[in-house]
Amino acid sequence: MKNNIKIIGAGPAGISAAILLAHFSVHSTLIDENSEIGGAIFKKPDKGMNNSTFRDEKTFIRARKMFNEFEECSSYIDLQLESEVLGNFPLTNDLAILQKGKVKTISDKNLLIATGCYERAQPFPGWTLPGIMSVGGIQSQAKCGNVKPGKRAVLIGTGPLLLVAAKQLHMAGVTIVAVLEAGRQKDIVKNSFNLMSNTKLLKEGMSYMLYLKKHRIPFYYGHGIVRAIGKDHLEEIVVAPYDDKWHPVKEKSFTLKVDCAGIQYGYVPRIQLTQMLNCKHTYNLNRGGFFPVTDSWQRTSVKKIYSAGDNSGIYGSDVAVLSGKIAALAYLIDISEISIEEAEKIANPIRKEMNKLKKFQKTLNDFSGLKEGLMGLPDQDTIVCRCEHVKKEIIDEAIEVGVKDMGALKIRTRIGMGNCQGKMCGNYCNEYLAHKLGSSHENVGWLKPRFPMAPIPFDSINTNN
Amino acid sequence: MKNKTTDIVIIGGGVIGTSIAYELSKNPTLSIKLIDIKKEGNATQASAGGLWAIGESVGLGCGVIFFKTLSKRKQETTNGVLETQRPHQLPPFFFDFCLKSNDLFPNLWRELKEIGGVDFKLEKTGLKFVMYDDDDKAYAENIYNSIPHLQNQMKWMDSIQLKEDEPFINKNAIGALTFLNDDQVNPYLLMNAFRDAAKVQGVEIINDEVKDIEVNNGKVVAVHTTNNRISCNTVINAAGSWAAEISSMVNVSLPITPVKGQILLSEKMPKILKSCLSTSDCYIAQKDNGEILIGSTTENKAYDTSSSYAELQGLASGAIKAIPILKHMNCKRTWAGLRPGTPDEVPILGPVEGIDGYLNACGHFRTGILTSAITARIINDLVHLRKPEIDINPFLLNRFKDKMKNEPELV
Repeated sequence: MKNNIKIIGAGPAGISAAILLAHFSVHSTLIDENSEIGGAIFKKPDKGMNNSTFRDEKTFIRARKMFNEFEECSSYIDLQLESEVLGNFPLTNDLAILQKGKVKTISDKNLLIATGCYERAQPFPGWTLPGIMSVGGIQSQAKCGNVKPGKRAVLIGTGPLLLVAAKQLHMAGVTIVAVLEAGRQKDIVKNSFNLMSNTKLLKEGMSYMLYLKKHRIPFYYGHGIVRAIGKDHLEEIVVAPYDDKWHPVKEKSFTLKVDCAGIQYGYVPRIQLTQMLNCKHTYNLNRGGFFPVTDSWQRTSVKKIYSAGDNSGIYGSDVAVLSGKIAALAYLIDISEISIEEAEKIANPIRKEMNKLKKFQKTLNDFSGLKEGLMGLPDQDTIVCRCEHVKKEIIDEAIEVGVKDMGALKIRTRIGMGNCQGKMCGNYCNEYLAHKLGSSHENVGWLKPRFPMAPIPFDSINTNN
Repeated sequence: MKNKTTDIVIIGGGVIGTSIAYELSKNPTLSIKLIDIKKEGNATQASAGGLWAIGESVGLGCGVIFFKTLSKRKQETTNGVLETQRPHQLPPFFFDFCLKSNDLFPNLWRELKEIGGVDFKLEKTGLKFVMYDDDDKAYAENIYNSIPHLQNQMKWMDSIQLKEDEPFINKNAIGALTFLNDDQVNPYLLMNAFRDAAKVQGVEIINDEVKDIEVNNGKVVAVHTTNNRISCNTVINAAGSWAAEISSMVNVSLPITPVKGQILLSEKMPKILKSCLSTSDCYIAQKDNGEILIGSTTENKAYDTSSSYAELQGLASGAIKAIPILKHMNCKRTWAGLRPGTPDEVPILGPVEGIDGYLNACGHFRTGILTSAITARIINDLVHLRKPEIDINPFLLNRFKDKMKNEPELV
């Protein structure tokens, strides 16, 4: 194996890149922390659930096609599952990976980062109550587990996943009290022309809306979360219409009796690795915040490091599949496996398709673009950083004494010093600081990720046994 | 107050700069500005927060690894002939300096909490040097015998007493030498506490980068930052690992270089350690919130602050040896800081010949947290033209003028 690119993340982007490389007889190592390929979006229903209704889900059918293709290419792909990338050691040019309870190192050159995204956490009063979950979390419970997340559920936030989750939960026997979308109907209608660029997804979206209608599940545009109430567990959710800037109109608020709620306001690109590798990043709120700058071939600013999929700015799984292919082509060019002309020929139709899909996704992203009203949701005593129990008032105090960036906020308040290193609260804090100070998101900056990106047992780096 | 010339500009907002700001701010007639810029590797923020007055003076704490590096080099230069393991001990005036500073902390804690409202978490822990074998024991005895006047601050423990006192320590440890008054604080809360109290007492904190120091007829007249010219009578260089950069602005060359130290941190754990520990591999401190901090390497890697695998492995293995239960606990973060190292491990304080209005307050190497308190008092005395409570001579820059060849030095 003279050329070997390491692909971090076996989601849509990573899988498609590995497949394309295999078609050129080029080997790759595909590394993923999960026990199966597919990433978050193509997560398979559990084995025991083969006869479940979900097996006909559109995403799953798409995924199955990809999995089959992947199978056929397996001789070119060294698949390393349950392998968690923990960061890098720049002085020795190593990447650290946790495998079978031990940390091992591999070279940090020739990397395709396809780590995808995770759901952005939105603090609001009561958000830490049991019963409140991310929409993805609630969805994977419905899809993969035999445990129902609750009896009466509400889905609140923005974006199409609310609809998908509502349908899946409903099919799993959960009563859906309502679905509340912060975006306004007029904003989606006025841009409906752009949505025609992806008729497949548009149809899919419509089918979800029809499903809600058919089952009389109330759907509200321009509404959102105000607070959650409960003693030891979620009992009630207070919601309200949102104004143009997503400030809740509190006098029109109303209460829903539920025992479980899926909340989702946006996605966050998983960029800890490209940050640690010193790739240049840029900021776009509607694409999830910070993400690495890439050229038209998905090359980052650091030589031999490529980035594809939602970690390169949120565009969804269809674009991820295509950007994975482009990154794979870039690698083939860079190792002189194919000429630029040849690559261009293959890339052109992919790019054309990608631009079309991006147009669609941009309309959705703009519709779901987070607005400043969300900044004001937490009360002064609402916990913002769950790991370190840092309340909103502590953040305000820090701003008062002159904290101007995330690094200083961390030292001052301990946000981001917990186990998640700020994956949960980092985005909210950046947005809030920028908003409060009238500063740019770039100037406010980020929490510098450190090895290990997720906690590891000390024994995994123990040398004497 | 607006157009008044600033009397004093302090450069550096780490624990040294802020402690000086606080001490000086007790005099309400002084106008004081502290200029700070965020630097990767700021030693205060990377510190373990040990107040190990005796421990550090006798070369324990992060001195252990420093000592190991030295003796390894010595061994190499003497063609592998291993001398008896003698602790790398600092001169008696340094003990004094550390002990005096340590004594200031209980009062400081009360003062700072009252004035600025920050509790820097002073904990009475003590520091134990844990011994595994006869070599360790010889090493500890050497320490004990070399400072007879401090023996009332030390206590021997045999393996049974140690097990009783610290049940989570390696059962094979043969005992420990405890330094009873070597305690700990939370280092960045200490810095916050100094800074907030200083602010309450009128110090202005400016986030900016110092670009130049203006000297007129051998006297400091102003500090130039990226955005401003601040005229002043006195400038205090408390820039830590970046102090030489600042001193070069007044044509003074300081022998201060960054000495990298890496640290590992555990998840929050129930209280399993009563005291801080030093072994011949590492030091271990459980902080007030339950996190266990493991340090630290002594590396010459210029201003690099990245984590490196071999060094982390070394520290983690040493910590697991000391506290086997750690094996199953999680490490949640690692980082590195840059100690401002001097050739003789002693800070550089006070005036420099030929430049009026310039004071050094730098080179605190691995004891900046501990000696911040006494440093501030010394500088305060110098600013007010009083004789400091500690003889300043061994700390002056001119001590390097005509010696420094035989001292051990990390290259």
